[in-house]
Formats: sequence, structure tokens, C-alpha cells
Amino acid sequence: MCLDSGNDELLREAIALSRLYRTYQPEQAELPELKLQAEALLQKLEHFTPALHLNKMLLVAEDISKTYSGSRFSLQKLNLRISTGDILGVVGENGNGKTTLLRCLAGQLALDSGALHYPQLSKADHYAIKHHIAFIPQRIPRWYGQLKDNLHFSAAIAGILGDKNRLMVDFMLERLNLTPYAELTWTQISSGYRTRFEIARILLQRPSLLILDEPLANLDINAQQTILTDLRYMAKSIYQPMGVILSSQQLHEVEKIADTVLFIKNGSCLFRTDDSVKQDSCVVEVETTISRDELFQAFAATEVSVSFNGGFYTIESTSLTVPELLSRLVNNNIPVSYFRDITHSTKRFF
Amino acid sequence: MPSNKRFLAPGFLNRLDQWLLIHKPETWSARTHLVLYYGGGFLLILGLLAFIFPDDPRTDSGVFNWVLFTSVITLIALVVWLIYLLRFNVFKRFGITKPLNRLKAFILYFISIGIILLISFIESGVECIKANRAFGDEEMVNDMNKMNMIITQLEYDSLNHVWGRDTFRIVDTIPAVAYTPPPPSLPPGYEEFTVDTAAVVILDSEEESQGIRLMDTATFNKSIRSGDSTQKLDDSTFIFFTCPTYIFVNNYRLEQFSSAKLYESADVYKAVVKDFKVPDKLKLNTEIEHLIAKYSDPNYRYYTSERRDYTYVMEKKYQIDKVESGLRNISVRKNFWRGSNIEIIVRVFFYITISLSLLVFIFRHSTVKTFFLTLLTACVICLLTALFIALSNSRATGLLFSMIFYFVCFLGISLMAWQTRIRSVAVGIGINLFVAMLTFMPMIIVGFAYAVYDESRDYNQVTEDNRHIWMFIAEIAGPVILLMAIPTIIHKLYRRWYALPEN
Repeated sequence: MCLDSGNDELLREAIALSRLYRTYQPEQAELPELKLQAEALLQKLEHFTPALHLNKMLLVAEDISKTYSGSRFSLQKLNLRISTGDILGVVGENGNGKTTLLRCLAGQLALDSGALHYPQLSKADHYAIKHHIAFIPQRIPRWYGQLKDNLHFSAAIAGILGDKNRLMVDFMLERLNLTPYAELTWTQISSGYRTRFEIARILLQRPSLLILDEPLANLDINAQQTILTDLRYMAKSIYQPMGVILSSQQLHEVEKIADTVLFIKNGSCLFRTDDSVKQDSCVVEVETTISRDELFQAFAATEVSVSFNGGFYTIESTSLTVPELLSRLVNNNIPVSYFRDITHSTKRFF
Repeated sequence: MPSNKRFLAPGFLNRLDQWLLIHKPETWSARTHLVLYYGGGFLLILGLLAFIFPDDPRTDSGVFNWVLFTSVITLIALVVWLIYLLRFNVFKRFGITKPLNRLKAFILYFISIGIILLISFIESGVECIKANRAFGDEEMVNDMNKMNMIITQLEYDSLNHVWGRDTFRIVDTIPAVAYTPPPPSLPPGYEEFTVDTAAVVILDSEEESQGIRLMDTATFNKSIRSGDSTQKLDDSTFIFFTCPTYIFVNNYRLEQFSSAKLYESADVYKAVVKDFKVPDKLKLNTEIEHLIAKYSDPNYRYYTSERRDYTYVMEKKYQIDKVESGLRNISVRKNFWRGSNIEIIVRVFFYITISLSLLVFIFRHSTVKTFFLTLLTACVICLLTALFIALSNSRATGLLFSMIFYFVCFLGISLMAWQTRIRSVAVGIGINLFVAMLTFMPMIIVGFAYAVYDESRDYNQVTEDNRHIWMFIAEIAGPVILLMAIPTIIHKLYRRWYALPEN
């Protein structure tokens, strides 16, 4: 909210409040004061009306394809559009073209066919395009020197200079809860924090489109949630919204925040969640201790198909709804330790 | 407060570092401010050490050892600077960068490398200052003149005082006895040229076995002007007298920067021999001992000669070798940073600095793979060119023409950056080599023009050309063209090429 205000004073107040909260210790009983300050800040923000920047088209990919010389792999023709505020998730098994797609969109790989358009950039050369698109690879290149210096540098080369530079770096450190680590070096922080620092660095460069390749790979479950929440918040920011494209193996986590999810297999987009085509079958994932035959007996022979993927049973039915499937399991006293509706999830294709 | 705590960094440096980081990231990433502080500090300390370090200007200069020692330090300093430099790069991060920022970056690299390289020059500078402070130019010349006069006075009775004489006559035709056919390779006109400008020594020559020696007009005129004494018998006959040797201690280098005149034998003759008076030998001995002690090289080792003649005995008596060694060492030290030496030092410093700056600049704007392939390509081209030159027996024109040809090719390849849709290594190599050669192209072109001229002209034709002026202009023009090209074409080439997608 404070960033959305674009008001430096409010940012400073937010930073101060965040620092106070971080140093808060329950035994000191200072929470009421902290709460008062937070409420005062929220009141100020209520009077602020930010400009709307949502839904500006950032990137249009038309029939893009890519084939590597000397390799059988080929990314088939694909179309997509990204606007400010959009989050696009790209999922798929390893080696099926996720990274290739992301690198094509980031302008790192030359296309065999098709075209990329950047409607927000007029007469842009490749340098300007790469300035506006930030790409975070799965293996983040090592940083050198103090982490905070890197953040100051990234902000400065994006044109954020002087006191504004200090303010934005402090704000970003607080926002991603990185302040305690700011004066450390790359080797002194965990891989999860490295990802967060990289995101902080990229955000300070104020890209209009953020592309992340497997950002959750090195993160624990809490960090994953934090990063995903942050990404969603930043994408939908009113003051400085951006488009976000991310690839991940964490299907459910990605699906929770993404507006659209692409499922890539063998270089082709098999499915996208915003397809208006209605699914003609229900699919659920079930974890149980009983055998497949016992599970199968709970249903009529023609009602479902059951497959076992090593950890879960996947039950697909064209005649039963999800609640009906669940009630059958309950009525037949089948012990269920995990149940998930994946009808609209890309998980059903794995 | 700045959070960075660098080793031995004062508060102002930390504040400056932080200020540059958030205001001038391009300048900050070049780390020139740190090089200025640490490099400048090291130069000061090294200079002070060199001053404090006891060093006798009369002994052999220790510059060679110092340069070896400081070269290692310079190398380490360069590596450390590069490690810091390569951490941050505005250009490769696709930051906001203006054309003039590229120029600024290059100048900062040049300054940083220059300061680091100065470490190797500091000792010679200090030795030069110390030698000049210890011995004045006029003082040394006067002392040397004094030594020669004293030795002449002390050894008057033992010296040969007979003047040599040669008689010359100007002739239009060379006498047959002196005629030597010119070599067949010389062009027509040689003989006539020689005859018209010749003088002939006749009659009483003591040196020539045939009693005759040719001398061209220029040498003849010079002999009249600078000879010890000349007697004109008629319009075409002259006698040149040669003074006997009264110079025992000599060092021609000293006269170059002195307003005092370095005596020749004739000057000593006029001063003390012509109207010789018996000197106070005791006083002169004291004076000469003082002067010998003043200029003797304490580390000089005598060469044990088999000679036992009078000259040897005298040289040993007055320690001439030791004194001359001391004078030579002093003059070498005094002249390190003077006269033509400065031109050499400045050129060595400038060309090493600009070459290293270009390498760093290219590396900072190129991919690692392309940079090293550029070095490999340059090596291969050099080898192939050397092979071609050797096999085709080409002269300078062939070599220089091939360099101009390569440059045009690299420029052509560079311009393909606007045509290609992928970041091609070949185009990158072309751009890198174009940038690397640009500074030197004016000199290559001037050299080529004069090489063509030299190969086509008549060798015996005496010509006054201004090649040294043109070469100097080319030397200046090269860096100026580079500085103009960096914010214009070079900036655009690298910006276009580096951001292209890969295949």
C-alpha cells in the first residue's frame, strides 16, 4: 500500500514501523503503541487515491517457436499475452521446454518463427527490451560484495538515485524481510534468501515484466508461500504493477496465485487454465492405505477409472461430480488421508 | 553512516564510496576513487621509501631491480582492481546508460590503470630527483673541466704537446689515385655528385697511407667550423691543426642540459697549456683528490689490464675509470626523466596503459567467450600474416597494407550487428578487433603512405619530409578518434550486439 502511494513520507513511516515491529519483544509490552502507529499509517493511506496502471498489455507472443540445432527438442508454436497485473504460471515436467519458453520471452533466445511485441515500448531496441524485462534464472548468478551494495547499485542503474535510492532499498529490504541480512555477503546466506535478494534486486530495477525460472526450487514451504504472496501483491500493485511469468514444479502453489497456467509437454502447450472449454470429467487425487482393488470396489465398474502414480490414486469420472466421488469414499468407509480436486488443475496431466 | 569498512579507509573515502554508489553507479563500479586513494597512497609511500633508502647516485642505478620488484606489485594491484571492477557492470546489467557513460568508463579505466602502472616508474623518478639535487648540471661540467685542467697541469711534463696537422685542397675533379668506382648498384649521378662536393687532403697527411683522403663538402665545412685550429693558405688550400689530447675525464651526456661548456682539448690548451705556468702541485693534488673522491663510483671494480703504458698508469693514478663510472651513473640517473628519455617513458607508459584500457573496455562490453575468442583470433591472424609476409618476401608495405585490410574487414563485420538478428560470436569478434585497432590506425596509415613512398622513390634523392610530424599527429589523432568513436559508433555497436538474443 505504501509503495502504491508513491509518497516518500509514507514509505519512511512504513519502514520505521516495520523496523519497530521486527524488534518488538512481547515482554516489553510495546504492542499497543505499535498498533496505534500502524492504525495511523493505515488512516493516512485510506485518504490516498493511487493512479491505476492495471491491464496495460506488456507482451504479445505470436506463434513463437524455437528449435535447437543438433537437438530433437523443439518448442512448438505458441501464443500468449501478458498485461500488467497478470501472473502466468508455466508448468510441465523437466526437459519439456519451460526454460526455453521463458528465455524466448525474455529475449535471450532467438526465435525460429513468430514474433514478440512489447506494446509499452515504442521503437525499442533489444537493450531497452532487456532493461524492461527482468529474468531470474533457476541458478542465480553469484553476487559479489555486500548484499546491500548490490541492491543500491541495481536501483541506481535503474535511475533511482540519491535519497530515493536509500529509501527504496530500505523499503525493499523491509518488504522482503531482508534487513537483518543486508550487510552480509552471498556466501553467508541460504539459497532461499539468495532468491529473495535476487527478487529484491530485480524489483528495484523496476521491470515491467518479471520472468522467474523455478523460483521456488530452493525454498522451504514457508518461504515459498511468502515469495508467492509477494509476487502476487507486486504484480497487482496499483502504483507499479507488473506482469509476472514463472515456471515451477509446485503446481498447486503456482495455481493458487497465477491467473493463467500453461502446461507444457514435449514443447507444446497442452492446456491452459483460462481455456473456456469445460472439462468433461472430474479428477481427484486421493491418498489412502487400501489397495487399488478395494478402492475400485467403492465405485461401479463404469463410473470411474483409477490410476496409481506411486503416491496417490487418481480417480477420474465422467458421470460423477467431485462431491459424489467424495461421498462414495466416505460411505464405503475408505480411510482417506488426502483428497484434492484436480479437475481444473494441470496436475491431472502428469 | 556508510556501512562499508574498507582496510585503512578513512571516513571520507567510505562516504565518497557510498555517495558514488547511489549517485554515480558507473563511476562507482570503475573503482577509480579507490585506486586513486590506495594507489596514490602506495605511490607516496613507495616514493618516500625510495627517498629514505640510502642510495649513492655515483653507483649503478637500482632501477632495474626496482622495476622487477614493483612490476610484481603492479601486477597484483591490477588483478585486485580487476576483481573489484568485474563485480559490477552497468552495461551488462542493462541499466540506464548514456553514450557518454561509455566514454567516462573508458577514461576511468585509463586513469586507474595509469595510476597502477605508475608504481613501476616511481623509483626512476626518485633517483632522478635525488641525483639532480645532489649534483647540478653546471657543477658537474665545471668539475670535469677542472679535473682535466688539473691533470694536464700536474702531468704537463709527461704529456705530448705536438699538434697534428692535415692539409686540404678543394678540387673539382678527384685525382686518379683517389678515384674509387662507385658500386654498380648505385644510380647514375653518384660519381658526379661526389666530385662536385669533394675536398682532397694532400701532401703531408700522416694518417693516410696513400697520402690522400676524400672528404665531402659538408664534412669539410664542419671541420673548418669546429676544428681546433685552421690555417688558410689560399682560396682552396687549408691546414687543419688537431690539438693533442688534454681530456682525460669525459662524459658527453653532461653537456646536454648544462649551460656551462664542456671543455675540449683545445679549450684546456688555451686555459692552461698555452701560457703554461708552474702550478702549486700540492694545492692541485688536494683539489684533484677532492674531486676524485666526489665523483668516484665506490662500487666500481677495476678491470685488470695487461697494459702498462703511460696512459694506463695515469688512469690508475687519477682513478679515471672510477670517476668516469661515477659520472656516467650520475648522468644516467639525472637524465632518466629528461630530454628524449621523457618521450620514450611517456610513450611506454601511454601505450601500455591504453592497450590495457582497451582490453578491459572490450572485456566489459563483450561476453567472456567472445573476448577470449577475440584474443585467439588476433593471435591466429598475427601468425598467418607473419607467415604470408615471410613467404611472399613482402616489405613494410605488405605488412601495413594487411593491417589496413584487416581493419576494414573488422569494420565491415562490426556493421553487420545492425543486420543480424542473433548475437553472433563472429560479429562480436569483429567489433572487438575494430575497437582494439582503431587507436593505432592513423599511425598505420601514415606508416603505410611513407612505406609506399620510400619504396617508389630514388634512394639517392635527398628529401626533406615531415614524416616525424605526421607520425606525431597520427599518434595524437588515434586516441582522439577513439574517444570520439566510443560515445558514437562503439557505444551503438556494443549496445546493439550485446543485447541481441542468442541462437
